[in-house]
Amino acid sequence: MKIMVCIKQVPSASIPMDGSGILDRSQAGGQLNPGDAYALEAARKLKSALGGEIIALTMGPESAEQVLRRALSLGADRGVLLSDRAFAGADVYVTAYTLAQGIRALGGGDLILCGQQTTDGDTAQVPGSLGVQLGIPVFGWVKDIILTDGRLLVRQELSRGTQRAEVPFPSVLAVGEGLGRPGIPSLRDQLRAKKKDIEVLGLSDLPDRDRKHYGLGASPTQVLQVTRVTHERKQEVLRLSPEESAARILRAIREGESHG
Amino acid sequence: MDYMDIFPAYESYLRDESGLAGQAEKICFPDAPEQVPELIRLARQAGKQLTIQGARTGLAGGAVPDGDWVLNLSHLDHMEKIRESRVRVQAGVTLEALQKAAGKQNLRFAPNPTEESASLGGLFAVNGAGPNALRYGRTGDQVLGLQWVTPEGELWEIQRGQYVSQNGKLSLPDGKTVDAESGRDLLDLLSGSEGKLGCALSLELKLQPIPKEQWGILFFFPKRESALQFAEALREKRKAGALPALSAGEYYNQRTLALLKENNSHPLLKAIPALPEGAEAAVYCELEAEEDCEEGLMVLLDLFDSCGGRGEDSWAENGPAGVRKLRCLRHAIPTLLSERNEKWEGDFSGPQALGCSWAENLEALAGSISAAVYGHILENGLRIALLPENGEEKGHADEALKEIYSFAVRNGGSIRGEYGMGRVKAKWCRESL
Repeated sequence: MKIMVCIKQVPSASIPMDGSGILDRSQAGGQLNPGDAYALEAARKLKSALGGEIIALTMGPESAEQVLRRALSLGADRGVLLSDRAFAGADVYVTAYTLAQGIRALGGGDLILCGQQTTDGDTAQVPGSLGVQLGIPVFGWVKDIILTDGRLLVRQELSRGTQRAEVPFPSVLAVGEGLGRPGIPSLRDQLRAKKKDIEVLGLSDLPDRDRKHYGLGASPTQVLQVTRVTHERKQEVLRLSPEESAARILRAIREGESHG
Repeated sequence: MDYMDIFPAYESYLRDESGLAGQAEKICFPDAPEQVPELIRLARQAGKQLTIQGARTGLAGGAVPDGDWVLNLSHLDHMEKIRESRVRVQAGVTLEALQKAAGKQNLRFAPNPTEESASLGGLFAVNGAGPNALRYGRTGDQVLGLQWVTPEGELWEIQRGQYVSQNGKLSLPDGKTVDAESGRDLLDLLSGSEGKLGCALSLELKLQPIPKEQWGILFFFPKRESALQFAEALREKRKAGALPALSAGEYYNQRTLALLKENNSHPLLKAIPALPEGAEAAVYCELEAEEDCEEGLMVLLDLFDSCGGRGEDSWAENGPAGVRKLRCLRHAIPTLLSERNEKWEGDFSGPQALGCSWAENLEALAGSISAAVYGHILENGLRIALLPENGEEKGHADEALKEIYSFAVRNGGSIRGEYGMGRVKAKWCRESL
């Protein structure tokens, strides 16, 4: 089983955006996107049941090597950094395209695991886009992975309930937090990970070497503005008799029904 | 500014995190330091005993009033701009607010008591310390200057080095003289005085750069003896200067690990995976350095192997977020114990001569009563919480704790521990000495 885990270095603190709507990542240290730790934990469990290899893959500058070392300490066998000036400023679509190219350059995988979303972009769109670019099924919001009789089943937390589905190979799985808390690496694993080589793939290593297909220039979307959405809740304390209380609750329920 | 009736609006100010509840008639919340001397004089004129409160996060009950009036300093929360790695804060500023402001300049206040909502005035009053006191000292060690108000309501401005004892005599700002060990700074005499000599209104603090490398490693051991052998070896290495990056060494016995395991779903432990099965004890270490910590990490790993640690039975995190995650475990212990509402807790400075075997002594002194033993193993700043399982054990718990305090004192330890004396220890102080 060849398991590829797409991970991302995210800022470890709040940072501003520059004039082009791009996060100024020089303003804070980086860390492994918390959601990706669940993907790595799932990969580790799958590998221990099925055997095989885990390859952690990320796109970013040289400093993103830090999260690959973290992945290596958490059970990945190889760490691959997609890094090239041509990749800078990619939006969600082009990020997924670049990752898909990286996966193809590495010979593809039986399972592609991702965290459901990142703490910086927070779009939750990369896994879906990645599946489309690779032409393989995508299972999002996975909260449980079950191996039974050689079949791989997942439970997905969807907006209208939980869905159980059988996963064909290859597929993309986007995992959420329900999969169990990620482990903490041992000191020995951390020290081993520091010494391992990180493989770097640039534009010239990818199947599509046309620079126009990467980075900011190829990105069809642009962040124009970010605003904080606040939901105001009004709290009112009423001192009413039991009869008045019952009447008021009934009225609220009826109003709710008529609105909804 | 005047005192107000404590009932009904301020009833919660009769308690602190120790779980003790006290009594008081009136309370006042000054919002400027210059109001405090007059408020103290008012209490004196009325013949009232005054309890000084900060953020009421103490675990020894020092902020719990024993009648009369309360002076709460939590509204004195102004912090000046940080200049040249120094900052002046009013007594009510919390450690959390200070660390946040310092962090923006890549600085920090080095002492790290795990409760970040504690106020700086309160921390100075108990001379609070955290796991890294091993390397950076206690709160008082980082204080460069002080605005202090005496029990008479007199205001003192003190700088470190300004009032230092000579020939056994220490001159005070009011011209009086007291006996004090030669070379003792007045600031150090006032730190940890828990309100008996007055209280701080503002403090000038020394800040330090955040170290580039930070590691937290929790080593799990199959046997208690192995953990204590490891801790003893750490002491020796440290003494020999072989582990300069070591900044903390904490011990968790089997019952402490069980407590953490039982409460795995507690919000404080939400980032912590299941603890490994079969561990009898654990030792938590922190390393900090401006450069790579690799040499220190290798020393720790070799010691772990040679003391019977199992290859993968450790958790290692680096960077501030990772270290914070592992510190959560340490922070959770007193909180979980406090939520159990057990009243048999011992906090003291253990006998140095006993070395790490002090941890074994503590468990033995608890007898058949299950006991969580945890804390600063490298300085013998261990704590014990007796967790009796039934009525019979509860009946023996008082006696056992009394014997533990007596044993500590008889062997050169001190009843004064990390959390100060407060009210919790008054009983044990009387009975043990």
